[in-house]
Amino acid sequence: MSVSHDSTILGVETGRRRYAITPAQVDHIGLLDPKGEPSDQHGRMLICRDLGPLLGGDATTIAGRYHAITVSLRRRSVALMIDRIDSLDGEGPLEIQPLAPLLSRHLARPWFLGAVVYQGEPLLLLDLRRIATDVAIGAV
Amino acid sequence: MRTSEQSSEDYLIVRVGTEYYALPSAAIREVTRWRAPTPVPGAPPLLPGIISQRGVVLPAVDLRQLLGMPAAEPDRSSRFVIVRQEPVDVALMVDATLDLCHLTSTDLARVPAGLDPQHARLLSAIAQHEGQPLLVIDLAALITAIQESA
Repeated sequence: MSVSHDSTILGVETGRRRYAITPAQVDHIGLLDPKGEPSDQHGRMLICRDLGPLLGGDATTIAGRYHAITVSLRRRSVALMIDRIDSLDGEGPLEIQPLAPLLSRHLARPWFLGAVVYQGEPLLLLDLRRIATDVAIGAV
Repeated sequence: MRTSEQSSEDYLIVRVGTEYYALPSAAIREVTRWRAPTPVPGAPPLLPGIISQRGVVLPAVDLRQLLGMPAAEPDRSSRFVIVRQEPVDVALMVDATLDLCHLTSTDLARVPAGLDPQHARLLSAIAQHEGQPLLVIDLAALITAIQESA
């Protein structure tokens, strides 16, 4: 599924936690078998990583085929495996709030664009391009 | 205006572990029940996550951790005290909120020299409340300590 770049914010479940992402950072969402040597739209081999453990959570729970969000970088594409993805709708546009500098300055990695409040709970908004870049350069 | 009125202030008394602390009421925006913060991967233990309070996302601060106390499971008396120390808003996790009190300068004594310096730097004074020591928190110093130690 190609992703339209609008202001919609999507919900991602991985490692038993839920996060938010912006479609503008995603090139493709779909099922993927990482053992099948998948490639991106340019024929380059995809780098596949499970997003849950990168964020300190559990591995994806479904064996075999995975939901994956693909982020294209300049030279490589990275597929981040997740458990589930859905839209965060029903409450109108969600306001993206920056994390307080008190917190963001002390994070091990700058992987968050901020947070949104959905159904009363704050969800971290992932910076997928930063995560994908760190995966691609082997920083994590 | 009398001099004593110029140096008096209202405080919220909170319990952290077995110790009683006074937070300046002027900085307190709200007190709310504790609920599990949303964890932020890669954040230090002192900052266990974020909460939403009336739609505003705030960092939670574990006061036990900051005060060098062992961790404890939150219970029904646990609270978040939302404080503003310009330009920072934070949700301080405390074990209980107890009472409001009014302290004048004559109620306040200097922080004893024998206290652990890491602990003493967070305090502006010591008072008494119902026979117990009441440790008055210096919010500016507390925020600085979070910024330095997180």
